[in-house]
Amino acid sequence: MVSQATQKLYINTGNLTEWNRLKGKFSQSSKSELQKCVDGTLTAWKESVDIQSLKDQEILTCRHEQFPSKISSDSLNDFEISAKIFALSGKSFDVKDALEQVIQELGITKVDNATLSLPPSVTDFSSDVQDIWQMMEQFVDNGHIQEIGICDFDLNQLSQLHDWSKIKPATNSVNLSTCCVIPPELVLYAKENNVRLLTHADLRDILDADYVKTTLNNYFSSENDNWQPIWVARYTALIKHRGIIKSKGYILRCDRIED
Amino acid sequence: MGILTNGTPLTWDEIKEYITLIKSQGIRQFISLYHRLSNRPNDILKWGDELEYMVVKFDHENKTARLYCEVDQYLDILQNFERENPGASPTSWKPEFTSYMLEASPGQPYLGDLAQINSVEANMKRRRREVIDLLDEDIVPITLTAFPRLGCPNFTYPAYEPDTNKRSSAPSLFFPWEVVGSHPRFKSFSQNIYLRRGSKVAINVPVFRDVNTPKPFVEHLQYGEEAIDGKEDHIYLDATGHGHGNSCLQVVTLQAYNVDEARLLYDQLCPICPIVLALSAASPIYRGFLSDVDCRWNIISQSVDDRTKEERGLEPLKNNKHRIPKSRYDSVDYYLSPEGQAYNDIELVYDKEFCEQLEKAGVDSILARHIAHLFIREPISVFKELLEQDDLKDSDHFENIQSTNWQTMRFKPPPLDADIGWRVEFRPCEVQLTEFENAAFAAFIILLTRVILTYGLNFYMPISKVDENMQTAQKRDAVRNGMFYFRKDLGKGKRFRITTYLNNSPPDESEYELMSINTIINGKADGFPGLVPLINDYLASLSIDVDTRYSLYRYLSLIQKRASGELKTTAKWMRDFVASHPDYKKDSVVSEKINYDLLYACNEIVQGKRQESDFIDNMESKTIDSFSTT
Repeated sequence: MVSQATQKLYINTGNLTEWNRLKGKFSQSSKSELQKCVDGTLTAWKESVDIQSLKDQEILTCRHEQFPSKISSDSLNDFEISAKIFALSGKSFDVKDALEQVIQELGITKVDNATLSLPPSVTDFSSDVQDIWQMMEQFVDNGHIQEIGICDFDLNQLSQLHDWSKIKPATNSVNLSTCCVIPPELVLYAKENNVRLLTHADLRDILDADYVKTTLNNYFSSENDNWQPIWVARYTALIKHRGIIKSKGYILRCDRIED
Repeated sequence: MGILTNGTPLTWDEIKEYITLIKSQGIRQFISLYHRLSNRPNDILKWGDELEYMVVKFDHENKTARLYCEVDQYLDILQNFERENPGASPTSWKPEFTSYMLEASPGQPYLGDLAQINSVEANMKRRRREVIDLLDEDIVPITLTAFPRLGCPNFTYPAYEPDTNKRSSAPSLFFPWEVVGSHPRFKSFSQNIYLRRGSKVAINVPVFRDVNTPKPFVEHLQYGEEAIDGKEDHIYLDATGHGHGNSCLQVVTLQAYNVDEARLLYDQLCPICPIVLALSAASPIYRGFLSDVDCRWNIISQSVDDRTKEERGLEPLKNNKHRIPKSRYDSVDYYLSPEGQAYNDIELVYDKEFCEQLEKAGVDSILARHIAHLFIREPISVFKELLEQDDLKDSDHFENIQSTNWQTMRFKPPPLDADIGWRVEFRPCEVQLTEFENAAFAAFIILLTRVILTYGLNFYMPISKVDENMQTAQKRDAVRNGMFYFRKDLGKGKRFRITTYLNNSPPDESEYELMSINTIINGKADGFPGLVPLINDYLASLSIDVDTRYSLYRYLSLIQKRASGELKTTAKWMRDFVASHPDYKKDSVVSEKINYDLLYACNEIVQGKRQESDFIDNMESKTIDSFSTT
């Protein structure tokens, strides 16, 4: 039961590489992968908790306890840790929360690369985007992130960000299936300004309000019309030099929005 | 092919005196190796490929294409850079079984980051360029698995006569002695296989029955006594050169983290072997006839089959120790990991004394059996200079037996004297015409191993079913028509891997079922995930640079389309080319003219001058030569 007192909901899938994900239809997109993982996490979580004890919690965390993602500290050097934050609310304090959650989940002090993905509604280099970037720069200054990058920026947006920022974006990730040919001007700009062009396979609106509503209705049976997805974070811990993904998972947050 | 040291080869009679010495010392060498290196500290991923080229000389006036048997002169030049810059050469060249073949691999191993996969094609292209630069315009290197008119009259330049009069000790109706490569190891092989076996090797390839093909097809009868092992409705071949000279196989060797990971990958890749064999099928024509098979595997298997009549079960055991069901070149008989033991349902032939000796020395019983199984074979090529071995430094006697067991997978212990770890070699792939295709297959295999390790995939099924698949895979158009046993549920994730198989109950038949190659590779909507979707899932989890991702996209697209039948296999393309040739008389005969046109077309395809959109639709990748600054 998600009571009226609960304002924030975190869902944490734990380490997906340990799951049996091959049962049933194999999801082909990250959006459907995320949905499947959320369903799986909530199912496992519901079976393992005493619902009554959660009644009045303001912040509710549903985690898949069976598969923690923590990386042991003595092998940290072997790993390359990446995080992608889908900043669905577009606010810098939410992105800060997301990054902190990832760092905590993995039990590390430093993420090697953090990438920011903005929702499709963000089309220009607004002050909100600047706030987010500055906040991420602070993480770099504090030694918690090695390099920061952006997703799906065109030449215009990328050059604005690059010119304005204190810590320049190290990477810009594009979705090859939606833009099979990358504009040569973008390629040239990236090369000249030391921005690595990478690929991703995600949709920018990886979690929508409708899905949140339906899911909360399925699992928590209460009035859930006013929940909004705030952010989704995906982390990957890759064993460098061996190409094996040791840990991969999603954490997401939804908030109850007051009318 | 094996270790190529120079020296004086022993004759078969001389080898016979040393068999016991070599084998028992080889076992001791393995024991020593195992003790020193089984706990070798953790290794990173390094890997490589090997391509074999046949060099073809065109005569455009007379419309002939012949195998050019004078490549030795170029080998020295090709090896020069590596000799003078050890550890820094982009390419590495070796001689091969015949005097028209060259083998090349990357000079340095590829490493474990994904961007390295994007350098494979470029490195392969560099190798071809190095050879082309040395050759005259009408002489070209081609990566073709089987030369269509190998063994036909005048198939070589210069032309040689096959040795029907037994002047050499490895007579053949079709394969001239001069065509066997000049390195002493190769002639030594041919002779010793013949002498040990007690007769010529007998290769019978089922002929393709076309409208005008003679019924029955009894061509071998024209050759009389010399072709006594020939069969009706088969294309008869009688020399080791037909196999090892026909095989331009492309092999991927990869270094595992430690010995356990090597054993795991060896096992998990076994069921993949027949699938890749069917997908890469590229050899439908033998000795000028269209055959009913698309792959070279059985042909090579028969071409090095040194088993005596006793070992083959044709006579009671008297001089030989074991009845052996397979040639020393054939598919794997035995899984190597504890989890795989329940699936070892073939009765393994192994030397019981060696096995006991290995176990007493602390080698676990699974690995002991594997080594004792390899050691039922006798050495067929021995160099005088290597007879005396220092067990602290040498392992040549072990390597002698190890490297003359040619199986679909090879488990390779580290050498004593180099910083190299436990490795596995994936050996079933037929070589393709273009670098693009060869890189695609290499990428597919390497990515599949990463996916196996990331998700804890489980492909185990009874090894006898893998063998059945191997036979299915070689049939004409197996990729479209064949049904292959494959495991249905690929895993419950890494945690569950070990515990599931600790109870020794035999596996359930419902674990696997017959699937098409298309299902195995591309998956099915509401069932089997498919190998390529699994690879794509893995790739989607990583940030990959755009060039590498684009190349991988193109490579996987080729694999997918070959699997679905949207693109033809090389074998199918060759068959269709012959069938539609104006000179073809629907009698399965591939004449000199057809051969010339076919090879000319192959060369045009490689050079990008000929498009075949139902064979290779798009060869554009963004491969980058990692040695481009040199």
